[in-house]
Amino acid sequence: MPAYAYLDPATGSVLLQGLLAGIAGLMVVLRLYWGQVKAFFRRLRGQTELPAEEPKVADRAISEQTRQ
Amino acid sequence: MSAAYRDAGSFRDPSGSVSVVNGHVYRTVMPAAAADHDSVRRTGILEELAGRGWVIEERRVDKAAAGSAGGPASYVVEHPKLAFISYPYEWCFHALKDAALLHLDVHLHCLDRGITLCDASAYNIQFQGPSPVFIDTLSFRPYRDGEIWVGHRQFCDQFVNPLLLRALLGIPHNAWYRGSIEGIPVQHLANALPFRSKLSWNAMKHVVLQAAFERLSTKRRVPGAMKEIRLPRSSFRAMLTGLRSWLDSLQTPNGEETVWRRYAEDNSYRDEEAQKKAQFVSAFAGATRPALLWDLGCNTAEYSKVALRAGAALAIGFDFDACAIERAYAMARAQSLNLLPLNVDITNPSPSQGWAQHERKGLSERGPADALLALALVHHLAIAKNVPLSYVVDWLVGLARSGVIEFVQKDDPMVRELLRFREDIFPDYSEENFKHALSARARIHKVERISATGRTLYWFERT
Repeated sequence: MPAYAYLDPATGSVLLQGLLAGIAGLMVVLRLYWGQVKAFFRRLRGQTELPAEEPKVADRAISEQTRQ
Repeated sequence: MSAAYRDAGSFRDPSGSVSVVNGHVYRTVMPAAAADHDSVRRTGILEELAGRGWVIEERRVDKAAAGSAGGPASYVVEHPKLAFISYPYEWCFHALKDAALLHLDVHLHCLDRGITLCDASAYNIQFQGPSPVFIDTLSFRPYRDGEIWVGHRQFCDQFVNPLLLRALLGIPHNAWYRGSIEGIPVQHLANALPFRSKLSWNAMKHVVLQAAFERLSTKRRVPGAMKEIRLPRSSFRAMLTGLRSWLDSLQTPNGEETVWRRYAEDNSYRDEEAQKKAQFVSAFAGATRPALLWDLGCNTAEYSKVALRAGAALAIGFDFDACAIERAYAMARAQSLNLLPLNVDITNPSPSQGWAQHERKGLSERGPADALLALALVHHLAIAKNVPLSYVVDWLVGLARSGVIEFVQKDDPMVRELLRFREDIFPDYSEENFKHALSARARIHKVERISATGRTLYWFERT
């Protein structure tokens, strides 16, 4: 160990690397749970926006039919 | 200098040191570092990287070869001796950049094989011609899972910050680096960077955030838990690759690079004067075949190239014009010339400095050269810089055993240009006095007038 430690890595650099490791860790967690996160948002959208979207689709279908 | 001496720049690392005995370079490996160095050697990576020309070769030799320095060592290795040592504050922007990229390439290659570098000193890189080579084989040690990059701060101070100074602010790193030989501190660069440059994620990470964290640590007590910080190997690797692509993209401002491209082609010698000069230099280098030639005031180093083609083994060029040195470096790389152009003002060459004023050698301490070229130089020293002619001749003859010095007459258009706005206070500046001063210190082997304005080349051999 003493042979390794002749260079002081400096506090600023160590804290920065801690932050980078933290960001990397966060990304890993995010990726692991990405499926569940997506599902959560889909559920959220499903509850609030779905009823509003349906008539729009229907309207478009009707207007397309009338054009033909 | 005695036949055996310990290199004055090699003392910080307790793992070992470098000694020179009868012209051979030995590195001692002390007991504290022997196990690690041995395990690195066993992987074969040092041979592999030496084969690529990235790391200097080493071979294990008998301990006794290193003389008294070998006594306490576990074992001793020998490296080939480098013909000339240069320092990062003498390199041009692209040389420093190539050295930085080499450091990162070596480190990335090692990390994939479970090895890391224990420091990131720019002084661990030297140039063989225009090619950087990593010279400190004791920097390699086994990687321990989760460890941080201990050399990161040093890499920033000694490579990243000096490069950013030029690329983002247009300030050559040389003068600042020479005064601050451990590199340009991250806090100082952070203070100098304009707001817009700080917006890039790379500059934000390595300069702004690092400086901010450092400031924070001086104001508040840093928790002991900092020692527990772990960096996954993938993040370590990402730091190295991210820095590599960022540094690789850095350029000197003002689109200098487009001008250089022309220098990759062979420049022809346009006029009769330049041709005569080239022939004279060629005859000189062919006859003396110097192992080490110094080209003082080299400009774009065209005459270094002539000398190399005629028989000089290695040429080191010196000029204070950063742009000319960049061009010369680009030419040396493109044409694979054994030439290293350095950004050095020869009226104020690098001093001996660092610890005990011996750690980094001054220019004179790195001589004498076998030969020198001082073409279209004497009038700049004697007239533009007011150095008495005899001092100029004294200094030049002291630098090399033989050489070519060009004398430019006072009524030459270039000299008249130098005197245009000033009084002629140089009554002693004459060819007669120059010849007299030179013949008092050396034998004049050959003289040739090469232009109608009376420019004359003198080939001297030191007596």
